[in-house]
Amino acid sequence: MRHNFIDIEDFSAHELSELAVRAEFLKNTDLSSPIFMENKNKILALIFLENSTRTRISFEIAAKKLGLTVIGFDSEKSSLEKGESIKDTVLTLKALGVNAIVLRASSASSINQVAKWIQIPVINAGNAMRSHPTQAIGDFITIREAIKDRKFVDAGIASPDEFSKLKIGIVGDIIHSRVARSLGELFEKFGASTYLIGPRELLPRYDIGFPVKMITDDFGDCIQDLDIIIALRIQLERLREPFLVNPINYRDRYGITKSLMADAKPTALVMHPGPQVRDLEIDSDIVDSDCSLILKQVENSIYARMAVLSTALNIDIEGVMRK
Amino acid sequence: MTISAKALLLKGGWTLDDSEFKKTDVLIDPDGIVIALEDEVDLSRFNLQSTQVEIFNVQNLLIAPPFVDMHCHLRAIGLISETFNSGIRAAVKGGFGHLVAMPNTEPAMDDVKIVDLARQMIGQSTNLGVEVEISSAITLGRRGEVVVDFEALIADNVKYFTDDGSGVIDDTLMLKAIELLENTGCILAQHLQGVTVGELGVMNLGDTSTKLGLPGIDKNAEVTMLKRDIDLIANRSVRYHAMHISVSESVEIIKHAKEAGVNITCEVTPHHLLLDETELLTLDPNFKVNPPLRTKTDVRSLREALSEGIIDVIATDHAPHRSAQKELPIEVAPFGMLGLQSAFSAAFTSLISDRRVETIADCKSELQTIVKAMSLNPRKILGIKGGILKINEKANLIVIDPLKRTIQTENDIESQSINSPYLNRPLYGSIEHVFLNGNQIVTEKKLTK
Ligand SMILES: [Zn+2]
Repeated sequence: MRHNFIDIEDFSAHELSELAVRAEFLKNTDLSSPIFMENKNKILALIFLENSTRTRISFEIAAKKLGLTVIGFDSEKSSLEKGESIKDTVLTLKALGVNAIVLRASSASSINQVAKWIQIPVINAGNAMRSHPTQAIGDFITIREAIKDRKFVDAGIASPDEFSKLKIGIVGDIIHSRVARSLGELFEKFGASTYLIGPRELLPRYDIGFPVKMITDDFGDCIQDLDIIIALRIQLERLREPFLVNPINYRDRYGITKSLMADAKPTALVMHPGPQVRDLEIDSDIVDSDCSLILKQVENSIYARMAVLSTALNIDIEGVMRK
Repeated sequence: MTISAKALLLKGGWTLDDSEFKKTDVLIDPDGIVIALEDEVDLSRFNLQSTQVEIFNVQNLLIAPPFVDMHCHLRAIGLISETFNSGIRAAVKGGFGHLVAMPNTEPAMDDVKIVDLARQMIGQSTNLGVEVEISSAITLGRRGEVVVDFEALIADNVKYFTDDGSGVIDDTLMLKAIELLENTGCILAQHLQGVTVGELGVMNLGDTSTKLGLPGIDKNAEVTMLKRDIDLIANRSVRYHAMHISVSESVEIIKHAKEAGVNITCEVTPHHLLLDETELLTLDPNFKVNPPLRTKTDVRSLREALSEGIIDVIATDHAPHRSAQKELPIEVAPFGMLGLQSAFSAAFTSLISDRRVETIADCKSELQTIVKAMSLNPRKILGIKGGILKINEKANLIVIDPLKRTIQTENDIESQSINSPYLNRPLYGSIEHVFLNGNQIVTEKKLTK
């Protein structure tokens, strides 16, 4: 598999499945195996040019579980992205012997540019509104796990091979969401049906780049069909007019509430990439209920990132798997 | 100045008049004067031994008048991304003999003093025989607030006015410029963009921008201003020129305006003819340009409109930017791409699109369209003579190999900047030889000095 990890669409379903299998293996294995001890010579740079505590911590834990040496580059303040210095920075890091770079950027293009400038693996930890591929892999694992836990048997889905039967709704601020784009690309690869639900001003007016089964501003059009409901964070910082969406109205129409779930399939499950705004995007009692996969998503994001990092750095997980 | 002690014979090439190819040998004497234009030159008739004549075999190549670029950014004043020297060298390699330099320098060319300074700098730079014409801004500092001193600038022989880089947004101001330029013979050229640069997105608003999550530039920014301008110029004797139109709606509007007798000309760039918004999928800032690359449908309409003569001119909008600028994140990197050196190849490749072309006869109409749009029409609009080869005049011609496939590399670039969108992309057609004022400036694609 190629070593950069930038957009989901760059990978085949087969490659993405392999990543999931690798992540699932890592989740269920003893990480004290000596193979992980040898990795401390491998240096991973985490460059976060946009504030993101959750993703950063998740990557850091993933790297440490793999035994990698991690150097951090947290810099809201740094003018890296604005100035000419991002190129110099990554070239310097490479010269210093860094083996791979994880980059979160507020620009859509920085990750592609960095990949062109340095020939070491670069991993996308979120680029503007374009992609958040490791989040998508984590969510993929979470959904596969739910299938294996027989959560969808009554909906006629008993094995991850039947992923294509899933009907998945993504709800809320679609237009500004890199998570929605990466998930949509991933669901396309596995043939699942994607529904987009949200206020009209937050839905795409043009082709968003993956097939959409239904696009609607009325949840009632599809709630009864959905196996999985993924609520998104409203990205207030990206809204041009801050009061575009009235919060009370929003919760009524698009919030994941008990009354919404009353109309859903009894087997329907709820996800949120976080950080969620409780009682706006999703009600507290739903977050904490059995139909919520939210904490599993957080946990699985670590194994997804371990799978991506170990693949990028050629760590022989298969070797461990064979033993 | 003599090009060589020898006379020079271009043998076996084709010239193109309105309807037909004509096989034409061109004999040029040691002073650079064309002394014979005939099917098969008989050297003995000119008392020339074969040892006194250098013969260039130009079999199956096209001999055309040098190109004229109505729209290029040569920077030079306050900007280091190009010098007059490097811009001229790039131009001549692209087959150009005349350029109109845009006024968005720093400071902007908006008064006689700065225009004269630019001319002085050009006078001191390389003399390859390329004419560089300086244009002026329409408003002071291109700020869109106060018009320039048209009278003084016209007296100083400025003939071309534009705020290029920005459109003139204010209606009253635009009307004033129109009134002041009526009956002057000058060209009022509009960069069609009804919003300020700060309000612009990164790329065309549409499927690709939505997929990438990048802020889009609505085509209405162009269309609305074009409609307004046509309303304003109706029944006025001003020479209005619509710069770099990019969407099919603009083509329709201009077509109707022309049919209604409005005095309007327009141009398209080679990149809008060849490239579409999907180039941005690479997120490479080299494809960030203003107006943005549009949809495949727009590209098709522009090609058709050019062939049908609705679009008068191909102009490069050559816009050099240093690598440090183009290596910024795409959201903040500047708009613009190189254009002079590959203008012909890009436009020609676009026009033949996927057609198989094996002989020069297969692409006659495309060559005709390009020679019109890159040489004859801009000459008419700017009032430049030349365009027809004549006996007893200095040789001004270019020799084009339309069938040669070329791939541009960074080393080929004469500009001070390398922001070409065509690097490593095969293009058809190359400029083999260039003669300006009787001097051979380019020989087999190489500058002679
Ligand atoms: Zn312009």
